[in-house]
Amino acid sequence: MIDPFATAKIVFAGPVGAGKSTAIRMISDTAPVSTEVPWLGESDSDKQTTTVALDFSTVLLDDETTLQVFGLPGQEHLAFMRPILLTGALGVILVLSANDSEVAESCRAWWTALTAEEADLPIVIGITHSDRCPDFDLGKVRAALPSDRGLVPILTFDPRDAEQTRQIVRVLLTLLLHRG
Amino acid sequence: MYATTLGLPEPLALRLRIALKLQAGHGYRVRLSDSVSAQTDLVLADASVGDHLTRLLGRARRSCVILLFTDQDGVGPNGVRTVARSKPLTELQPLLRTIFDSIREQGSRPDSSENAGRQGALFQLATKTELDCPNLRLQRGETRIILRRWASRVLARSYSEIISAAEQLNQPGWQIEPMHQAQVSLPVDWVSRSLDGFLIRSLRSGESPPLPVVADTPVRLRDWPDLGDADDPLALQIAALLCNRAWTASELARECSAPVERVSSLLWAFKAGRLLQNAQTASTAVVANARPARSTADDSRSGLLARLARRFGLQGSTT
Repeated sequence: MIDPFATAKIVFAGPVGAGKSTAIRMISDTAPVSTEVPWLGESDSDKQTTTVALDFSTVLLDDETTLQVFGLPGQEHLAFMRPILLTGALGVILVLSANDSEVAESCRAWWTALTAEEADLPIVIGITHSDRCPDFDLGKVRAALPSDRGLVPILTFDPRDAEQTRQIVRVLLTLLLHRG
Repeated sequence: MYATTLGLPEPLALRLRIALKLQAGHGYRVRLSDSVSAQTDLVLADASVGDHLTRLLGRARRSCVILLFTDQDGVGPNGVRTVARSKPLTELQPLLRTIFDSIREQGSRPDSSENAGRQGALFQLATKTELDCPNLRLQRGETRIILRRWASRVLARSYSEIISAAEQLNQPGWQIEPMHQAQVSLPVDWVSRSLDGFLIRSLRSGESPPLPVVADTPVRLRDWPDLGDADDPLALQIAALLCNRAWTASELARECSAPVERVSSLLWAFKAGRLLQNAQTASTAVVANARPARSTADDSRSGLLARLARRFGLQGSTT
């Protein structure tokens, strides 16, 4: 019999350019398998590539168990990938960019899309690029979420910093552990 | 704490003495006397002492709390709280605890005479209601920062200035002024960091005077703290607990096996970040314990989560 708990899965979701692929790379044991192509978007961005299907990597827990880490593509026309990759996921880390002037609205839209796939999916929200955005308002992002699911962890982090990225995963695990 | 009883009938005086002794369970050592002095925190008097009370209170300090025992609960002359003489021990004990909690919190406020000018900015942010505004400008010597409290951000000219400000935050000498909407034009070249992480970082500075212990009243989180760059496993553990139900500082200390002073400091930081709200009563541990009977699949899942938690360095993650 196949043990479903011999493999666990977490998923990074969010729009293009938020930092999902970088975050996945920071926590992985293996080099991620990415479907990246050259970025042809705004030229003032540091971004040089973008993911067009998915990111995948693993974290080895012990000899028997592997954590699979998936990154959902951010493009709307690849939204059909969501139910496929979210099936069986322990939880989701939704990565958003503070550079997006409509980050609160984007947060609400992604929240709605993800919870439509699975209503009680544990979700932690990680916001990147906040250090160079003096106008960024975490209160507005908090207020954008519906209150019927209790308190949702929203944290700012730098996906290039392995410790900060691990902290986001720790918060997700804390949610899961407290659910029992 | 110093309490004084005046003119109480013996059965009531006995119940009150027991209730005062029981406060030791909440960390209050109460010294009882039959005369009012400048040290007196609480006066428990029978209404029959009448005008005599007013004269005695002339010797007490202004913040002294008075309970007047009469026929029923209510409010007496000069706004003094009245309590029924028939009140049983089971009701007197929590009533006194609430009063001592409020006295302790009041006494630890920076504007009380004994603490004036000695507390740092974090404590002032946590306790002064006039500082509960969207933006504050803080300055101490050459260090200048802007706190966007409602946005949960701290801004400065550089990261090093933010780190320096965090290290000084609990020292006295900060000038704190609200920025009115008209004044607010946020400098575009300043860097911005998590306010919650900044406040927690400030607790590590060994040179700062210790913060007072918070009142042992139940509190819970209003919002999850932004702990993305806060390297403090206890802060995460406490946030997760406060998210589910209300806890007192002493309950959290027991649950996390941490010193109550450490827990208390983190609660002050959460309070300064506008993250905490008082709960009237702490719910029992029903939420945490009321899990359905575990199946084999639940056990496998718990084992998996425990291994994941260990792998990612999550402390206090027993399942």
